[in-house]
Amino acid sequence: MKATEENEPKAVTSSLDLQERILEKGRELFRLSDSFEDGFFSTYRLFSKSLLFLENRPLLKLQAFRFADLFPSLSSLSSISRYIRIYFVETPTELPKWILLLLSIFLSNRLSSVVVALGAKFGIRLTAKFFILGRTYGSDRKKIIDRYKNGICSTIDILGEAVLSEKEAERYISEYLLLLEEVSKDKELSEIRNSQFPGEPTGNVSVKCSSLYSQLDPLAHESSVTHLMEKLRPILHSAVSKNIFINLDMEQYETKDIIMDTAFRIFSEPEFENYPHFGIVVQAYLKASQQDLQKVIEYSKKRKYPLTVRLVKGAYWEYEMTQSAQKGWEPPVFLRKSDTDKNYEECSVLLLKSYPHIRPAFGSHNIRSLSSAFVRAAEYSVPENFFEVQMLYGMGNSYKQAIRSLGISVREYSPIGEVIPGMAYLVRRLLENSTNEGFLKNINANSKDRERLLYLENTKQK
Amino acid sequence: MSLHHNSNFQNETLRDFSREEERSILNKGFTSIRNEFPIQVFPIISGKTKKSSLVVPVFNPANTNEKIADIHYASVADAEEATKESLKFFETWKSTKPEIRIDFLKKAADILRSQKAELTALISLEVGKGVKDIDAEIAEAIDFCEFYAKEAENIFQPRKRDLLGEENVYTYIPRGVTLVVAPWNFPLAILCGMTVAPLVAGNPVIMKPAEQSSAIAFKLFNILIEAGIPSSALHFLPGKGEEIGAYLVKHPEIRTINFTGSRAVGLGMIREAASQDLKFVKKVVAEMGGKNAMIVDEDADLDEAVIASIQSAFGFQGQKCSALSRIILLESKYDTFKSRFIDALQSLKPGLPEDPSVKVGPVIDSESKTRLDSIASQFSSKIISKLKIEENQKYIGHFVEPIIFESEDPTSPLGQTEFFGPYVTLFKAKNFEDAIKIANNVDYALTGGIFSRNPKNIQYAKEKFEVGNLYINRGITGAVVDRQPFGGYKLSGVGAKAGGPDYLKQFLEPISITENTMRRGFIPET
Repeated sequence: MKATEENEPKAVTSSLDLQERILEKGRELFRLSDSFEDGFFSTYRLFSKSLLFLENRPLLKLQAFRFADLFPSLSSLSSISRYIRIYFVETPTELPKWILLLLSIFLSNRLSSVVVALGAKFGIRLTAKFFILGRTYGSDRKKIIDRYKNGICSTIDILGEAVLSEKEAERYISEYLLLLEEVSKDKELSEIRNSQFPGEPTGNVSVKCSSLYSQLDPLAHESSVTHLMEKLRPILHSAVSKNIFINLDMEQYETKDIIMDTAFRIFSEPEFENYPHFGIVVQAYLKASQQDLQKVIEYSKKRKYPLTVRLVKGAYWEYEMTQSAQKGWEPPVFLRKSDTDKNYEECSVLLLKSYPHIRPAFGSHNIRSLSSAFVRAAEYSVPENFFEVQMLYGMGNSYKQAIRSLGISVREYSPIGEVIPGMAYLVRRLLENSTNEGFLKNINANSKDRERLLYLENTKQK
Repeated sequence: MSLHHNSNFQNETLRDFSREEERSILNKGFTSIRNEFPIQVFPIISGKTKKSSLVVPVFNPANTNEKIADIHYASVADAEEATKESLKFFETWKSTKPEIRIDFLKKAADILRSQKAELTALISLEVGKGVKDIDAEIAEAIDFCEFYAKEAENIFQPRKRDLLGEENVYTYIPRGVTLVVAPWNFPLAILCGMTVAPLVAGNPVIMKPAEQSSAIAFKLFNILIEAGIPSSALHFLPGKGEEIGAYLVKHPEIRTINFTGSRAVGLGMIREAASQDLKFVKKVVAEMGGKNAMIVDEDADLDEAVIASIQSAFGFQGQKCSALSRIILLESKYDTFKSRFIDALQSLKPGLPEDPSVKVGPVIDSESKTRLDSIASQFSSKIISKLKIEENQKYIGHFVEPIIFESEDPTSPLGQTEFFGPYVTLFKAKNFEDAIKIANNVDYALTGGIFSRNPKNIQYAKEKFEVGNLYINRGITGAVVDRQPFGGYKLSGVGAKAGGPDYLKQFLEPISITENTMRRGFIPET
């Protein structure tokens, strides 16, 4: 790699200066988000406040998440109320005494216990609906279109159970193909898109590779890559013919290299080598992320059109920690959240430096991380329409509007799927994210705490 | 939080096969071990290689055209000589400082560690095991060496309870010549653990490996000798179990028999040992079979339960004593589990275990294949799914088709008899208590598991499930030394758990020594 190929910063700035500008950008984002807070998305605010009830109630939080994880396998109202008793009445939590008392009274009689069960069912479905767009694209496309009307694009992901067999994998492949079909045929979507987002492809879909092939196995690297390419080919073929963006998602550390190799190889096939709408993910919580990012950058430089890299922190932290502990390995992830945050910023810089060879998509709800990316983008003269921000559907809506108002595109990661099986997946995410001290605090923090959130741990002033 | 841990023992790390470097080292292992084929395996007594009149070839069970080794079988005369030599060396070995014996084990662990790739290849080719299972097995062998070394450090610290004028010491002495009769299914780890424990305790050992895995056993024997174990303390006798095994079991100079294998053979040894009229009680430590069950509760996470069941039932073709052979399902989960389980089985790839994408390999030998095929045809009406294996593959190796049965009757052989192969049967239970009852209603108590998110049922299982190793919300195979000491009771075995805190003591006799140190009113200063 020659130095001249790199995107140079336009002016040499001292690091203090940089920090100051990141802080200023963060404050601006918070200010802007406040102005959007009570409009369009106020129900979410209410919901996030109610989630805050679980803060500082660790036992209750644990039981609540466990219950939501269990919920999809409860088949009757009576089993729901039975488990509410086991999980919340018979297991000690920080529930206030009066709630406990009420709960026991209600659960003691058959009729009123049904009421409790129905309430829980309603509550959980409601929660799921905050995070899951809907059952299928066809049934819930209105929501996506509404989002587009409000200036927010989507990348659609199909949720579901783990894929244990090739039969199940086939079902997911046909779901992806159907989704591509439905998206491409949506006239209303294409009208809005054409008027509001002229450069945008027909649609944007995130593909979970583990749902396409049930036998992914790091030991069988070669055959995993070959099979995955076979499974992906019809999906990519369809996407190319319909001008739809395809992003390959990342999951566990152990499949990372399989997915990266698959991407490199399949994107280079003659049918796909000149297609502009492909993306992959880099997880900044991985110690190997910068090294991997370099590989992606080198690869992308050879392409006619740049790859998009969604830079995320990663959602499997606890999983990776337990896996590595059980196998006696060094954890592949940073142990401290602040190291991940710092690495995220370093990866952001790598991405921006590679302009115009990579299209960065900053996937984060952390205002500090995003501010840092924005400030650095300006420093490296990366135009605002060249990169974007990605956030999860249902989270941080006022931030999305704030970022939009800066002229930066925002894309939502929008899961579709059955609410009930999808719920299990969602809880895993919530469980993983609940230790990521970030988002809930971020959104509900008062202005003093917010200021604190804008510092990286190691840049914090005394 | 205080984590109770009485030693600083650390389990051996598994290899991370997502690293390309690790995969390429492994491939080189296959090439280099193949250069040694056919490995010549001889009986070795006190370091002397014995000639044999019977040489039996061993072939790759996945490809019977490939010859792995020539096994030169030991004779009864060799067995007699090994016993004599052992006896002769016993006093020397007994009085060797424990630290020296302990160091030999640590050295052996290092050598095992350095030969992982070749050992993996040999195990794969001689018994048809998959690479990840082998990796865990090699780690287990290393763990046994390190763990028993650490345990010996503790045990050989005499326990003192002195008073004024009286000294009390509680200490251990080795029992005497130990016969180790090992199985082929964990050809390295089990043989290693069964051998190094009595050795570090100070007993001379006669290794009698399984006929089917003598080449791996020979590698291990050589590693132990290389680590410094005196050749007079460890003898190697490959050969026919019915002949030299039976001879040695009866031998009046064998003090301890350390056995892992079938229930019939194990019980036979115990009877034989009990009936002998000797000046000591011959001790038999026996790890035998299982008819292991997994209970899937109505609130189970099926994503996890199905995948854990597939691994536990079909991993290494079900040829583990811990393997899953009964799945007991609560009715509300039955149909969904069944269809996902069948589909998952159908997605497994059969073939040569050295191919990393293969999940189903061969069974150990033609005898095993014939036996399993006949069980399949006997219960053909109960078969709900079987994984098809191509005729040409069956022709080249000892492949049987993995099968899922379904039965209403847990008292039938499908629910009672150990098959030692890739066969698993689904049963229905009315409720969780019923499921536990069905699970317990067998002769064995080895491994078992439940998938449940109901804390009451989890507690109930902890109290009532009759198994030596209970697993909750995970697969039921793959016990780890020290973390999950392994072994069962009822007809699954007798003796302490392998890789656990009581194991070494089985090869020792505890001695209490009391000395009155007062002489005519005079107490020596201490």
